[in-house]
Amino acid sequence: MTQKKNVVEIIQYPSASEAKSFIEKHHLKKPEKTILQIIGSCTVDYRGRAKSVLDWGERFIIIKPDGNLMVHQPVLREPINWQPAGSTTEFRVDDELFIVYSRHRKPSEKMIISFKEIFSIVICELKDTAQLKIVGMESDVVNHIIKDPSCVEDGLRIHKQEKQVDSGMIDLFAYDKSHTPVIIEVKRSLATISNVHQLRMYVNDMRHESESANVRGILCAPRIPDMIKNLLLDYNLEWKKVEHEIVLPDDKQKTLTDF
Amino acid sequence: MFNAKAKAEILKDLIDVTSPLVNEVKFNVSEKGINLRAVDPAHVAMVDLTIEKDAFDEFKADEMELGVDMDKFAGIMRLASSGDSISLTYDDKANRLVIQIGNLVRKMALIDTAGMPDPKMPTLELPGKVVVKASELIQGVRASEAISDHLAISMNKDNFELFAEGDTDTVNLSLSKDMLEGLTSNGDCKSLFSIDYLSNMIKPVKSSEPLTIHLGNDNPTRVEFAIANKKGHVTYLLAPRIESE
Repeated sequence: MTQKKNVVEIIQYPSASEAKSFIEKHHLKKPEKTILQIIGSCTVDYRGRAKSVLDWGERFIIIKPDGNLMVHQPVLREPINWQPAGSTTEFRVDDELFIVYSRHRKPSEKMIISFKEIFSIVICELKDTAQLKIVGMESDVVNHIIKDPSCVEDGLRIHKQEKQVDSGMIDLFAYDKSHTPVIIEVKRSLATISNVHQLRMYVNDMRHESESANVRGILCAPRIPDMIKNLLLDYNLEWKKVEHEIVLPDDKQKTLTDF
Repeated sequence: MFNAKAKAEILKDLIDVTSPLVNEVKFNVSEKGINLRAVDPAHVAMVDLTIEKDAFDEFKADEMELGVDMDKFAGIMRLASSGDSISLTYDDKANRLVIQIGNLVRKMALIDTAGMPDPKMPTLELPGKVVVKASELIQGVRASEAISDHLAISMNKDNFELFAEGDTDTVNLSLSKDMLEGLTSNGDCKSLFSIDYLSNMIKPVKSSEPLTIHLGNDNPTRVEFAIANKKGHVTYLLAPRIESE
């Protein structure tokens, strides 16, 4: 792999004024393209939806091109404080302190981060358009049905994803080929008794709402035990076995079914 | 009827072999012991495991199927220390497995086995066979893990080799016939495998135990080893990766 040069700019232990000119040179010309990280000892003052003060501590500030700003302490996954996307950031020197001033309008939020000592500043330009691909989620099964409604039933038309009714949110709302409303409840693994009751409540809600006695409910899951099928029959509900796609680690990995 | 008593290690072996691959397993219980077969969702690896009746301190069973949620079972078995005697009883009225660890009684609901697959083991003609001390393979896989996500296993009539290549580093484990407990190979065999799967596979193997590896060319490997104080047997199939162009 060839490494692209000049993507990262680093300065260590700058004074407040050195920090300011370093940021002006490498970040402020194109803040919408560069990620800025400041590591050092700082306080954080926040005024906005609430008020907060964070006393001196050594921490990690990340400012992303979309305006997101995060203050990370040495531990924990989440930032201890942050500003949302769309915030604008200014940098000042006040006495010996280096000040990061981030502002967001609507809701109005201000954050002042004052550094008395900076250990390092890293400015980099990163290209990353990839999206996280997770398999085995309920949404995989839902998307599979949206893409190909015939895997549930021929002639099925998906009308709406996530439709609100009194007792909750319907996964998929559809019409069958004779225009009867169909409520589809999706599970990513084994269907359970509570899924049946959930579907039953949705169907009842829908019957009241549309004043139509004819509303169908279908439970879709990769595996539906016989006991659940019997329960569904008791309530005049239906089921369909729907598997979600299993994605191999990559296309070079073969499966045992190839042999 | 199913009523068995065993040392915690025996059941932990079973869990270690199975749970990396699947969440739900069907135990086929008979008077001879317990057998199960499981395939991971991507169909890359399959495990066939048998624990003979003799591995248990007590074992009485009719033929039956028990659907077990492996995460749940593993969680329960974490309550047991090694050496603990664990009693397992099937409660057919409530379809539960009653697990007794010391004075603790844990009743675990079983899963309906209807619709759970009975995976077929593919018949494979694998010309190479080597018997190697597990510790050698464990060391090779551990070393490779650090530098790559796949490794090559190869053998010819005189030699068995494991090779992994990262961006800058390589790992090579080469064992000649006299360093092995057995080697038969008609010609050269070589296949590539994912290290993730291999490292899960070797986790439950005792390092002093011999391990039999059957190998072909760009074919799955069949690895066999003993568990449960040699009173249990595992056959593990792993599909290969295709050699990169």
